Amino acid sequence: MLEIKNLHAEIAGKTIIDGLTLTVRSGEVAAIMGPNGSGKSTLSYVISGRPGYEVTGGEVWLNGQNLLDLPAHERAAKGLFLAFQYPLEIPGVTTMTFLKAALNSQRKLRGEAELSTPDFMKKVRAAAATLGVKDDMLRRALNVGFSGGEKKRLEILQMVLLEPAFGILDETDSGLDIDALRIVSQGVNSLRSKERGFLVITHYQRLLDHIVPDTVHVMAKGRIVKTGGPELAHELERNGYRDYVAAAE
Amino acid sequence: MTAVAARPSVTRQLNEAEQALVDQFAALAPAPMRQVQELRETSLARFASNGLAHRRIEAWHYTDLRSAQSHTFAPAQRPNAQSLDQIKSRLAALASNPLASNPLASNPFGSLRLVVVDGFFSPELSAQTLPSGVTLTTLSQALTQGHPRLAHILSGSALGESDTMLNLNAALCADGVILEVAAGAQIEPALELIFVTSDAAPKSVQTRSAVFVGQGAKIRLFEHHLSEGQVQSQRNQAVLLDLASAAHVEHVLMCAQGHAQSNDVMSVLANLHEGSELSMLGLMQGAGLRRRQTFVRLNGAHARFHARGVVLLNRKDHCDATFVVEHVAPDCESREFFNWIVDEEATGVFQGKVSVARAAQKTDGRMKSRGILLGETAAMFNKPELEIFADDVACGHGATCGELDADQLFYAQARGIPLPEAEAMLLAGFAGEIFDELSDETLREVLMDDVRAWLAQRGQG
Ligand SMILES: Nc1ncnc2c1ncn2[C@@H]1O[C@H](COP(=O)(O)OP(=O)(O)OP(=O)(O)O)[C@@H](O)[C@H]1O
Ligand SMILES: [Mg+2]
Repeated sequence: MLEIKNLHAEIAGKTIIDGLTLTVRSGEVAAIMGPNGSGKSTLSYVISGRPGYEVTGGEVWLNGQNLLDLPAHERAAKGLFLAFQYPLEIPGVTTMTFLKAALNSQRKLRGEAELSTPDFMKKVRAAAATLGVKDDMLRRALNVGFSGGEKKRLEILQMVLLEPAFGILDETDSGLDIDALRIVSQGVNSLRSKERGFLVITHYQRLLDHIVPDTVHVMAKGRIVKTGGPELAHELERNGYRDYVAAAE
Repeated sequence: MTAVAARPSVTRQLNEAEQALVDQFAALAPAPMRQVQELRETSLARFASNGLAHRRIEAWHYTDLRSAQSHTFAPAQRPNAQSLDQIKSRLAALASNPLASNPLASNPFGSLRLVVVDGFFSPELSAQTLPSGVTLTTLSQALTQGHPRLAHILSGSALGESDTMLNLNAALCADGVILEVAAGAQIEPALELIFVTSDAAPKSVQTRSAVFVGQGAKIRLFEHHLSEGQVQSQRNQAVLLDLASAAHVEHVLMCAQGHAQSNDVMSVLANLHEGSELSMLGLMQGAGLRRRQTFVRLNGAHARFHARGVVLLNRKDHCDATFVVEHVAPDCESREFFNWIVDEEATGVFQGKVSVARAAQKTDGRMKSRGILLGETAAMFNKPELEIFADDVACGHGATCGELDADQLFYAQARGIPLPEAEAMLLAGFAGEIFDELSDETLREVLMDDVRAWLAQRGQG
C-alpha cells in the first residue's frame, strides 16, 4: 500500500506539490490525470527520491516503510519502480549490463543471492519475448538511439524483470504505436496481483481501456482535486480539466 | 591566444637542471660517424637555446616542464645482470596486484616482447627469436657501428623539429630498439615494446626507438610503459614510426600510472606514405607530469591516421595528450578521439593541431575530446586548432567537459543501483565508448579490465 499524506515539495524554492494526499491500496490500479504542469511527474520523482526535489512537509509510506528517509536506490530495493516519462540514455552501457546491475544490486540490498549469468539471461529473454524486445536491443547501449516507443517498452521490460511491489508509470503510453500500447499494457496487466499496486499517470483514456484502473484521480496545482472510478476518465475526456483547475485556485 | 615563437635566446642562462643535461652530453662517448656526431651537437645546441619546455613556448603552454624539473637526475645506467633479475622478480610480483596493468605477468596475446629497461634494450628480458621479415637492431649498436637509417632516426623524419624535448632526446638518446619489417610481411603475433623504469635510483632516461614498416607490410605494435613506482624519474622517450606505402599498423598504447613526482615525456613521430594506415588506441594514466605528443605527417594520398584514447587521472597528476597532424597529400583521413576522466586534483590537457596544406584536397579530419571532471579541483584544458590552406576539405573538432550527468545517475539509482556503483557504471561506459569499435574481444577486455580496476580503486579511496 502506498500512502501519501499531505505532501509538500519544492523545486528551486518553487512549491510544486502542495498538500497532496493519496492512498493506493495493494492490488489497486490508480490513475492520475491532470493538465500539463500540474505536478504529476514531480510527484513521481519525489516518491522515488530524485535529488533536487525538496520535501517541505508530509509523508510517503510504502507497505509500512517511510520512503522519504531512504536514498533512491534503497526505495527501489524496497520495491518501488518508476517508469520514466523520458527514459535516460546511458551511452557505453549495454541494456543487458544495466539490467543485470539493477537486478543484482536490488537483490543484494535485500539480502538475496545474486542471479548467475545464465539464470539472469533466461529471465531477461523470457521478459523480452513477451514484450517484443529484440535481442539486438539488449546488446545495444541502453536507450541510445532507441525510438520513443522502444524506450517505453524497455521501461516496462525493466519493471517486469524487477517485479516491484509498487509501480509508477509516467505517461508510458506516449510514443507507443497501437500494437505496442496493447503489448505494453499486457505486460503491466500480467504483473497485476493482490500484493502489487500501480499509479498510472496518463493524459488519455486509450491507455485506461487496456489497463483498467480501479480509481481515477484528478491532479491540479499540486493536489488531488477529484477522485472517482473509471467513469471519471471518460468524463475528463469529454469536458477537459477546466472546472477542476478553476476549483483548485 | 598570442603566438609566442620558440626563438633561441642566446643570452638566456641555462638553469641548473638544464645545465646538468648539457653536461650529460659532454660525458657521452662521441659517435664515430662525423655526420651523426654533428647531428647530435646541433640538436644539443637547439636544446640549449630553448631549455626545458615551458609555458611560454606556445605548444607547451599548459605543460610547464621547466617548473616541474628544478633538478636533473643522473643519467640512467645500463642495468647489470643483478638488477635485471631484481626487475624480473619485481615485475612478476606485480602479477599479484590486480590493480596493476602487468603485461609481463601474463601474455594473453602471445606477443613478441622487446623490453627496454631504463632506456636500454634488455636482450635477457626480450623475445629470443623474431619472425622472418622482422629485423632488430639496437640504437646503441647503430650509434657505434653505423646504420643506414641512423641519420633519419635521429632527425625524426623532420617531424617535431622545433620541439625542445625532441632535440634533447636526439642529443642524448643512448639506446632503444630499431625494428625493420620487410615489404609485404604480414606479421601475426603482435610486437610489443615494453618500457620499464626500474626503481633502483632516481634517474633521467633518454631513449629513442624506431619501427620501419615496409611497403604493404602489416603489424600489430603494442607499446607498454611501466614504472615501478617507488622512485622518481625523468623520462624523455621517443618512438619513430615509418609506414611505407600501403603499410598497416595497429598500435596499442598502455601506460600505467607513474610516480607522483616523475616527469615523463613521450614523443611519437609518425610518417605515413601513400595508402598506409596507422590506427592507435591508447589507455593512459597519469604521472606527476606526463605528456604524450604525437607528430603525424600524412605524406602520401589516401593515408589514414586514427587515434582513440582513454585517459584516467587522479592524485595531482598532470597528463597532456598533444597531436600535431600535418596533411600534406590529398584524400587523407585523420581522427583523434579522446575521453578523459579526471578525478581529485588532476589536470588533463588535450591539444590537437591539424594543418592542411594547399595540396591536401579532400582531407577528412576530425578530432574530439570529451572530459568528465570528478574532483572539485580537477581541471581539463582543451585546445583544438585547425590550420587549413586547401579549399575542399571536411575538418571539424569538438570538445566538451563537464560532470557526470545527474539525470543519468538518478535513473540508475532509481533502478536500485547505489551512487558509487552508478558512477562507476557510467564512467566505464564513457571510457568503453572509445573501445567500442574494437574487433579484438581479448584486447577490449584487457583494456576494460584496466578501466574497471581503476574505477574500483577510486571506489575504495
Ligand atoms: N527543475 C525544475 N525547475 C523549475 N521548475 C520545474 C522543474 N521541474 C519541473 N518544474 C515545474 O514544475 C511544474 C510541474 O512539472 P511536472 O513535470 O511535474 O508536470 P506534469 O504534470 O508532469 O506535466 P506533463 O503533463 O506535461 O508531463 C511545472 O510548472 C514545471 O515547469
Ligand atoms: Mg509529466
